[in-house]
Amino acid sequence: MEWVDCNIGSGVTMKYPSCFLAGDGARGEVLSIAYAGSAQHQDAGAKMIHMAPNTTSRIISKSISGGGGRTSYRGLVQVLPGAKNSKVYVSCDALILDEESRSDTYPSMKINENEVDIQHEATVEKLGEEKLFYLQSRRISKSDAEGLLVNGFIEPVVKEIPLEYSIELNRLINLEMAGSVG
Amino acid sequence: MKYINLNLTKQSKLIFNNPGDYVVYFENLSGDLIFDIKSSGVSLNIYGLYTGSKNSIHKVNTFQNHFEPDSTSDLLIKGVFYDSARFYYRGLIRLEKKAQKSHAYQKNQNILMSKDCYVDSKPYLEILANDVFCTHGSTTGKLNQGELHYTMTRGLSKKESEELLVGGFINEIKEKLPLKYRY
Repeated sequence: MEWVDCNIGSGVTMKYPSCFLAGDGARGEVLSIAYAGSAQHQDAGAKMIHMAPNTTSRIISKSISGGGGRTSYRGLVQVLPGAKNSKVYVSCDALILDEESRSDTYPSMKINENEVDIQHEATVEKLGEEKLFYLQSRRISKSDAEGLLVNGFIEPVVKEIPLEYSIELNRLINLEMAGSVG
Repeated sequence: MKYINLNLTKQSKLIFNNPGDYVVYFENLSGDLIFDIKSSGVSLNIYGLYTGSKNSIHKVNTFQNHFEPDSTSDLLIKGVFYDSARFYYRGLIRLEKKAQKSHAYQKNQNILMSKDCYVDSKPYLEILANDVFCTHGSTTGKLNQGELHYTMTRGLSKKESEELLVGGFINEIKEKLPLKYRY
């Protein structure tokens, strides 16, 4: 079971694809991208409910906020009693493009079983100044350099989706980005 | 460096108005623990230790609020739980718009020794500034089975091995405290 979730449009989005891992050995995976521009609030995330033994899940979330936008990750990982040998890996990376924007992370982990391995990590950063400088020193304009870095940031998720969609997504993000970074 | 033991001072809200190094330590405290950083140049380390057994319940909410730029806060909370102990942790890092160039870290590590214990871990971030570095992590699981097996091959009983490994896990916090406050 795999969800790929890209949130780019609309003013306020609240979307949490869920996997209920009910059978022995089931695996759930959510890959999620969110881009919040001016006046947008992208509240996205995922839920993983482990109900059976030997179940594994992975959530990878990448969010970008620019132009005063706000992104939030809101997730739930629940391991019910009896879901022995479950493994969970959650990773949320956020990029904040300017000082008007905001990024929040609200994960929740409810663990009711000890034979498990649960990991969660999240980071929040801005675009690397050295990388921008390097690209600019190679005669790439500032906005192109920013587009490249943002597309590189979401690359791990983009490469999982079918090619025609990923090209479309790259274009959309470049379009959204155009001139948005001050 | 200033050392603050919240079990002794019984404070639930600390406000840092002056730059400097601070170390805060607490053990098995429930309730809200608020750390307001209202000055630049604050370097704050927060260490919390939780051990639960039988029907114990600990509910703790931590708040690392950065109001000013150029400060660092680093929180580490470790828990070891036996029997049907329950642990509810909610940690929030909030960086206000003014708090540029802040570094804020948060980590929660829990070991579950019995299948009846319950851990609810919510490490939250709210970042309103962009020139910052912020991470949090949370891990929950049982003792490292490889290490347990190794110590048992060296002639320790299962109980002794578990005690040794749990001791090492807890010591990671203890050895970060200033020497004279360690034991």
